[in-house]
Amino acid sequence: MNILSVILAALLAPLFIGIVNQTKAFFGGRRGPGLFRLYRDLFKLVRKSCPRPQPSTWIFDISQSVSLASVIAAAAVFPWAGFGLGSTMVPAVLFFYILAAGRFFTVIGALDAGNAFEGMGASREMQFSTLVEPVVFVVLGFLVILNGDVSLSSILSGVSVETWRESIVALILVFVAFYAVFLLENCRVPFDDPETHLELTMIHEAMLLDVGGVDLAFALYAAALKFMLLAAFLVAMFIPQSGNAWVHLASVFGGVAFISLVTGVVESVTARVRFFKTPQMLLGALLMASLAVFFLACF
Amino acid sequence: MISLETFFSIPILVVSVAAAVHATAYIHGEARRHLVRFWGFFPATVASMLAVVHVGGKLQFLLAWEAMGLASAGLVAFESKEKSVKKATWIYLLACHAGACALMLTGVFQMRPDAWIAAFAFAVVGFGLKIGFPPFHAWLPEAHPAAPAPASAIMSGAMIPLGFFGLLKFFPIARLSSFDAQVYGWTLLALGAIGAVGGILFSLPQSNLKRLLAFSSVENMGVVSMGLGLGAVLYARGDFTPPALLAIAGALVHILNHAFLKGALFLGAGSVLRQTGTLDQDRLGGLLRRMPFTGSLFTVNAFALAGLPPLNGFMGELAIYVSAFLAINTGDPVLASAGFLVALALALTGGLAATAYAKSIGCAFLGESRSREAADAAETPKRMYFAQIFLSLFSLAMIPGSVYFIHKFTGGFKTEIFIMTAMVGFTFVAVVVSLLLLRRFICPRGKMKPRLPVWDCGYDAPTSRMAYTATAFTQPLVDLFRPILKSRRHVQPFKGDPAAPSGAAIATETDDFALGGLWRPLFSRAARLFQRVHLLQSGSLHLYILIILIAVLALLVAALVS
Repeated sequence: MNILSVILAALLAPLFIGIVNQTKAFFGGRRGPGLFRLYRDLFKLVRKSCPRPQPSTWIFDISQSVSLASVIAAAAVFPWAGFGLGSTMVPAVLFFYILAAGRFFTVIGALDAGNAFEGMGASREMQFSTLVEPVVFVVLGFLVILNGDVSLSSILSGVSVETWRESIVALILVFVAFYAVFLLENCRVPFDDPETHLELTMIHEAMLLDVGGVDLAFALYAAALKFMLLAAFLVAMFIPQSGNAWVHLASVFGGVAFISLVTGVVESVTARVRFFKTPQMLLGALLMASLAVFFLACF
Repeated sequence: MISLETFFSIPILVVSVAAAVHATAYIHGEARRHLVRFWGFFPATVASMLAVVHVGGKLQFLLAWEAMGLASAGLVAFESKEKSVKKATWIYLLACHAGACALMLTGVFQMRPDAWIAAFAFAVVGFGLKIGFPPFHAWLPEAHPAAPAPASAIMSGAMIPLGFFGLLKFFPIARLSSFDAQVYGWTLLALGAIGAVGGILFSLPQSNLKRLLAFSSVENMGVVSMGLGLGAVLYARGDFTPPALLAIAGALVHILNHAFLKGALFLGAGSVLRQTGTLDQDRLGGLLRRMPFTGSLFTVNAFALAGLPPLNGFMGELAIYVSAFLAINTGDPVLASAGFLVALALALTGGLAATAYAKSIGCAFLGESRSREAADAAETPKRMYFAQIFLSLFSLAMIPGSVYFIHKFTGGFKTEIFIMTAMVGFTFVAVVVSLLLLRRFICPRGKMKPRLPVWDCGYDAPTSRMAYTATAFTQPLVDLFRPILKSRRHVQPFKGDPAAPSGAAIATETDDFALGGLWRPLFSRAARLFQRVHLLQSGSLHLYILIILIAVLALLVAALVS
């Protein structure tokens, strides 16, 4: 059941990116590339040769593999069906630090190409991920107070209907704060635009400018998997525990599909903010999360 | 369980062996003329550090402590021809003596049981001057870059944690009363949080690699201090001994991990200095190709010290995190706020540390060489990187070692979390290996294209001057924290013909807040004050005799009156 759900998650990941893009196409009045575009892209990229930039070293060669491996390792311990591979013993901190380890390698891989655009992307990625970290940990603190333990599966054991009724304000605040984290970590509008074609305005894409072939396939797949993983985290935080693993699994994936849809709508109706505004938005998210903790503790 | 003395001897012995091997090759060329001085002070430093750990009694401890400061000052002053080294030695000696002075006062106040607070306050100053509590850390970023790399390695890895040894030896948490433990805990917690976040914040903009590492030591000691402080705060409540032990275990494990990792990093920085002649990250770059062993070892150790799994730097922090979340979970408002403070400070520290180390790896070792010196660098003699491998093996052993230590120290509290973390880390590495094999299978060597120029908007001959610099990499964060960092920019605008501009330059500089903002004004004001007392030092014998006479009479009167 555990392994099955991880494999299912791994297979479904590119689909959700398709949902986002299809939603955006609908809002833009286009026919869109179809739900399965990313699968085809991945197959195409795997068959291509791997170009490597001149000054690069083994760091560049392994960076995308490490980055993907970190997301896979995080997905493997995620409690997809209410409990993961030993996720009752995995501290929630580890989940986010493993993702950070993968990001570290993407960043130094980008710096290894030795070019201004990739350096710029790497610099921005580190800036934003540094600032988002406090928000993540306040949200984790909130979940610990709510659920009473530090392991991943217990902080994701969901919110009962009773708790929803009693502290809906705090829950909504945390949802918004973590949704901001989700958008930033996945480099979506309003923090980053995955479709921009200008190197100067890129963050995540800029780090991949010189990545090609199977490495690019790894990078795109890692991005899709991370998108699904954090969306699932957001969903699992809030849905009530049903007790049935299959129902839980279905509701997590349904929730992820819904979050993808919402993200598509958000991306269609909002513009990207200026880089200098991002720290302010993150500070806002931090304040919301702290306020939620305050409400939960005091009311 | 091992005793406190044995525990603190481990980093001293391990790091000094590696540093000694490294030093045999590090000191070369002209500097070999002063070889005797180095090999005189080096064993003296190691011996006095061991003496600090092992002697009994307060007087002996003080003497050993002072000897440790003096012997290591001799190491800092090794290249004493340079002006900056002289200045650094002077600052370091001042810090050592001020620390010793505060420790003497601690000893005096400890004789009275009702003066616990005063004794503790002076101990925080005295040991804090060695540990690098803010604002007493001012000597670290001066002395570490000035000292030869092997000396920096033992000082940062093994000597500064001895401050914690002193605190734990003379103020054992288990023997404090509940109120005292609260004071103790909150002091260490607050100083640790400021030190951790402030230290890593100041390490970000540093272009000198060893200065960056020195500020990172302030950060890591801050993390240790937060762990001990959280432990004491939890312990003071009585009911939460297991989470308290967990936080303390995390802090102690972090001392060992930091010693091995930072020792190896300082040795790596020393190798870079020896082969290129510079530590300026804006003038290095591409060293991983020129110095594959040194570069790879630096990369792995820096990744670990950034506190990222699966390597050992993460283990201690994880224990402190888990303890912080357990504190949040107690529901007690005081403990919960301590937990939140620790978790927030650790989260911010983790992010900033990753940025600082990504910068030092990326800008010094990866990409294009930014200067002739970096482009011409060659690998070091074997024993230099063997010294780093030696320390890295200890780091590797510390992955299961941390789990075992925490298990033993807490008596099996939440051990499954740490075993699981090590296993997830192992899985992570296994997945990396299998992905690399898959990659090789999909894209065999023959199908790999020859290396191409990087994408620079179609420009076909990018040079190293187009690469992102270390300063540029951290500029967004440095700008964001400008009110604290107070970085100064020296801009030299374009000159001459606008069609062919030349001579433009920009340089940024971030000085230590404590040194420039607190100590320098304080000391210059004190110097002005003492100018007035200078009248007494007239050189006239009569005046001196008069002063002695007055002092003796005053003492006599005081004795009679009381």
